[in-house]
Amino acid sequence: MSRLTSLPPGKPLRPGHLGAFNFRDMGGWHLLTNDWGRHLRLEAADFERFLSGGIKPEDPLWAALRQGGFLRDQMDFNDLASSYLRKNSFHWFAGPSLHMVVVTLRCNQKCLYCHSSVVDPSRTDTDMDLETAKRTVDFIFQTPNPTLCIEFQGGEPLLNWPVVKFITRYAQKKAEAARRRLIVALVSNFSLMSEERLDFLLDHHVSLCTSLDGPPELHDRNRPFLGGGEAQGKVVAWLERIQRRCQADSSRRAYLPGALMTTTRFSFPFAREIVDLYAGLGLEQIFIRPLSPIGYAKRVWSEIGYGPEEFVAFYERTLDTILELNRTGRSSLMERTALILLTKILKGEDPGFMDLRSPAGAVLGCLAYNYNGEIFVSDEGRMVDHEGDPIFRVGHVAENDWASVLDHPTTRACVTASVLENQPMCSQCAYKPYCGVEPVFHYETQRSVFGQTPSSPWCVSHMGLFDAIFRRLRDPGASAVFEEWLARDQCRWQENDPEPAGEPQGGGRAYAP
Amino acid sequence: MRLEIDPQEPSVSFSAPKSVYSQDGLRIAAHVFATRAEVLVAKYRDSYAVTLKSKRRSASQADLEALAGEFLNELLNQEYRFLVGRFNHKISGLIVTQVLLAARGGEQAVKPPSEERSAEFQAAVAVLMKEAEEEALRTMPKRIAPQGRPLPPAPEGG
Repeated sequence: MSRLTSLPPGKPLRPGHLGAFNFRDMGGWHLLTNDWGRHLRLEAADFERFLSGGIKPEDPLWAALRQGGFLRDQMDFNDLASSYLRKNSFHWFAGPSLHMVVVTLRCNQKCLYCHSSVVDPSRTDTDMDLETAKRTVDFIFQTPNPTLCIEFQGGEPLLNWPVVKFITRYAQKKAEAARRRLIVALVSNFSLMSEERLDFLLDHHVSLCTSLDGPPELHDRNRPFLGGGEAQGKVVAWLERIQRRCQADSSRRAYLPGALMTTTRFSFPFAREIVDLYAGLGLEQIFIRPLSPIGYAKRVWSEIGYGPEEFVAFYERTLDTILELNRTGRSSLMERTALILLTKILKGEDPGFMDLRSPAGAVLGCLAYNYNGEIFVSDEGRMVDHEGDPIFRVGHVAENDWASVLDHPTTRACVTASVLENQPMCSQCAYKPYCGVEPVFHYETQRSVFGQTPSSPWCVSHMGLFDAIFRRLRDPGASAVFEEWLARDQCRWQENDPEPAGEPQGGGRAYAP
Repeated sequence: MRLEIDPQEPSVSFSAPKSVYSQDGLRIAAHVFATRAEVLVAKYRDSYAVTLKSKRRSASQADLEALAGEFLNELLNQEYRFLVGRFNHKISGLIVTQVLLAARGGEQAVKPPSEERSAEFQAAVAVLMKEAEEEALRTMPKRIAPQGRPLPPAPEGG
């Protein structure tokens, strides 16, 4: 289906009674949305009646149109404004909450798509030193958001374990003194985990997340160890071990480990096996994520990459497998992309996903810190720098303060470029209330932070994902599963949580990578 | 649109009417295409004469036609963006102002709490540093392996 849809031809139009809305012809029915974040699904005939002023107060549709803010003279502005506030709560957030700290570029895996694994494990000159680590934490605490999340990334962060430990302890000490809420998360391949390290991480309430791309034949192909060896087996073994440790202690159940999968071309034949693996491990969620042609992945795109339509087809196939497992009671596995979109569409809330915000989360919601103290608008911006282009560098922990990072021209450019009201096509798109654009992605794929939306792979894949969710919302079976997921999902972001904290809270994992 | 193609140069030229395209649009599109082509623009009364000199050493007629087509798409994208930007400038200006102001977190920079200046806090941090230093000395590799040559730049277009 075309991404641009037009009004039914030759029908009378009476715009005088219409509230501002965007719409999309879904083939037999129309989706209507508005900036308040409300949506409505109308059959084709009802849509035409609505446009021509044929829906009167006695019509059953009148109430839904009125409640949704689609009738110009019938708007409850208090209700609609509160909806807008909830949906765009991040417009009022005091600075970034997510701080991604790259403690080393070293890695013991050589993932097909990874930008950083080109650095050998023995190259300690790409480790963050203690002085930089301390300055990084000090900088993070300069940012004003009352809730801070420090996420360790790499490279493989466990290769620089002393710095992971130091940052965790120092940041918790500062959070306690400043009475600020702190969440610490570690993204690791788990291959260098030990019982001693796990004790420390669990004792310090660190959220744990790993990469699990699928069954061994897929995972080991995507994420081989340097020098060979079975990577998948190690990940699964540690996942199960950590699950057992968390389940054995009620205070640690909120810290059950999560896993992330990255989709390469090689993933496509394994939709069923990937879902079965996640379900079999008893993981709460699977996050079917596309690969982005950013940084190192751009070099190898012709071997492992794919078109956005191919990804959407894979996503739909995988999502249907998960829905079927849920419907038949064989698994309660939830899919994260669907949850992110459903939280926006049905709950009218911001789920804290940086890429689908307008403006995007770059700097406003997140910052990335390289091992040498350089600050980037996002981790993707750091990947671009790693390939030799420093355009997304906005400061250094030893030289800059928060105000100067916010005032940096690149920050301003990223913010302006990612406001959907400024984007051709996006400004009229039915998915605008829920979508966002990513300046780094567009810079890498289209050489401009603004991008060219009509030909953007970002737009094709996200419209495909929204189409997939809205179509399934018309199916009562799928819709019931979605509602159950939303009721169960506790994994939402808690930026700007006013509750201060010294020690991290054990009452719920606030961070969903 | 009529294209004049010179496969020897290799370059492609065309005329862009001023009634549709602006100089700002041309300038931005030229920046977007900076890695792919050198963009030469001559200004006439009713139009701009645009020449794209491909940065590829050899480019076929089809390549040059595609280059011109993609440049014109980018040009249209910029003009459309100006239009949308003008139409929505009030709301987008409000949003940008709101988010930047909120992100600043107030007029005063966040200062560390006084507790951090206490001798007790400083001593505790010194202990954390010392322990981390000792653990690093004890457990981290001491040798840096010789590295291979750096990777070449990524190809354009992935």
